[in-house]
Amino acid sequence: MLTLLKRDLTLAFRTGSSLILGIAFFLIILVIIPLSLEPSKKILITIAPGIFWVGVLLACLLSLDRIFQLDIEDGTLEVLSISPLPIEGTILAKTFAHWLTTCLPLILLVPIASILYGISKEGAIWIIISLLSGTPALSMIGAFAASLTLGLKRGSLLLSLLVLPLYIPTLIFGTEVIRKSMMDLPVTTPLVFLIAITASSIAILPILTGAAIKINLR
Amino acid sequence: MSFWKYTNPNKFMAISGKLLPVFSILTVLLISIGLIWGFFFTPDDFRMGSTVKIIYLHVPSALIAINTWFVMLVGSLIWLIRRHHVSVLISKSAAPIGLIMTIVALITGAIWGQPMWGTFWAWDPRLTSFLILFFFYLGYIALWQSVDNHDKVADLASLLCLVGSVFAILSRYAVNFWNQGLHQGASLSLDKEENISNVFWFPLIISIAGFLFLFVTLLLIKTRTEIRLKQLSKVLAVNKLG
Amino acid sequence: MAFAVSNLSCGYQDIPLLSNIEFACNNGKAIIFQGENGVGKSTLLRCLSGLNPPMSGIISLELGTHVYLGHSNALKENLSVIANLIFWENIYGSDNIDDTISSFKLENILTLEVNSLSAGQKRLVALARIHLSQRTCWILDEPTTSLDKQNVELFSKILCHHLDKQGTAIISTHLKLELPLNNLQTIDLNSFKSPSIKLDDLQC
Repeated sequence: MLTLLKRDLTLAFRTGSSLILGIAFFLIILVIIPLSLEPSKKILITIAPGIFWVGVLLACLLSLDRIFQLDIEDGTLEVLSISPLPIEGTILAKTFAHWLTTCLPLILLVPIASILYGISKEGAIWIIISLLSGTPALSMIGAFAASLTLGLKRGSLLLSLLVLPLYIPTLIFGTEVIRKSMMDLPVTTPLVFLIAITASSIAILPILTGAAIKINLR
Repeated sequence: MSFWKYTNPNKFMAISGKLLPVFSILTVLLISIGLIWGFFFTPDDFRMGSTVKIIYLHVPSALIAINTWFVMLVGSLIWLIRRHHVSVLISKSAAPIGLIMTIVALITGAIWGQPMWGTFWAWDPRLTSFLILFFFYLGYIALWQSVDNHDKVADLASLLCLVGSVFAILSRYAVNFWNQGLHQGASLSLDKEENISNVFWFPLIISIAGFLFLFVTLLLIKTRTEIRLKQLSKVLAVNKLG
Repeated sequence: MAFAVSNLSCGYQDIPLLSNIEFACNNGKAIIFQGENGVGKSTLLRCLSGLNPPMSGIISLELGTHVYLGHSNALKENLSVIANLIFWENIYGSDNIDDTISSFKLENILTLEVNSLSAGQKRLVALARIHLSQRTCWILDEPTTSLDKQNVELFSKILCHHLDKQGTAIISTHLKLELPLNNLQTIDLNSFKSPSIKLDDLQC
């Protein structure tokens, strides 16, 4: 599994553009929103949790269709599905690679981005905690949706339609964690739900994703 | 298991063919009685005026919208476990019906809401859940449209229905959590059955029954069409090969 | 007997292409499938390798003993030849990478990126993966496409060596592979073509 992870990371850095694309997209969203509203501090702090999460979510969407696409095109996925590495292992490795190359860079940008929105240091820390707890779920759920639309022409549009409703619980609990922390309210309920969604997605979805991939390889 | 014999397409067509006329008549009867009684023969509510009568459309459509997804879930599970084509075709046929019912529920909910809250839309947990359900239906239907191979898409759509069901229920909780802070205690609950007197109750029950038969009738019609379509496509494919 | 297949039928979208396939393969033997285009050679090989479920029948092939090469080469174009080989070495847990490189004479192209190779060279590297896997049963779909005469001979020698070590192979090909005849069993798939379905027999 590690070797697949290494290979995917190498490929991602080799082609480079998708890495930078995600970061650039995230930053552009974060900059455009205040430009489209009146830049009052109060408004910005109120909408910040949502904007950060939506920015990460959309950046995730951009790179989701490529999780399996390239491997289907050159026949690698087929061979991997009947190799000693179980399909769930392949899926976990690729999902982790997606998270490392799409979500993690954005999380690392949060300190800088929070300056744009006038968020305090504690606020930024809670945004990071929220994203760390919830973005693995985004990658995993996204991988599941990508497995359903494998090999379809214009599949990325259908992928977005399928994955966005599935993202809603994660989005809500993720933003609630940040909002509750900003209002000094207890953060346990949404945080527990968020971590539960991530944990159960990682535990259960690989099996269903594997089934969908095998169906699509027939 | 004699119940399973209805999953044989030919038996299904035979039985549904006999039931369809009966169900159609019942549908028209019950819906007409329910709506006419409800709209024209019940007094106006002193608080909510005459627009409350929209519940004769809103409540049944909302109930069917949710139950349709449940039917799809059961059909998908039966397909994944027992591979009966009829059950997955039932799921496929139920989806557009559920979609329309959801839209009706949303529109009638908005019409009801306008005089009460002064706005056509409020991010009330219940309405928002229906909006999310709308997108779940849309995605499921879109997946069926996108893949040509029937067996493949039946499997994929069934997986989607499974995972979607879990996330749909999760969304319900999430949305409740998300909005409870703003609208605590507001009288936005739309199922005030315990507050509705008998005068309103009977036509409501009749409407609900009517919509139920409407659902079953439409489902049978669409499923029969889907079965015929599948048989036709097999004939065409064999002709191409043979 | 390494493996056997009985009463196998495979097809596409509920319609059988080939039915009642029966054969057995002993260690050290190769089976060559021949047949016209579209008869179902690739479908059958995908079935045997586990990618497509058969419509009926039994395949007694032990899991984990076979390796498959289809029409695609299963190579990452943006990585070098050696990076691809090392990847597969890790996946299959092999220890014969040096032997593979020398058998296939890949020394000169090891550091080149796959997308700069010719079609024939890419196919050769794809075949190298098969050797690298150290699996006993090789399932190969048109393995010699794009290979020039020299490389076809090279591959035939390597295949012979594999069979000598009691490996087995199932190959679909149009070309004549130079193999000593007692190792070969040619099966013409046209004899297994499914009868055309009469409309009256159709069920949903």
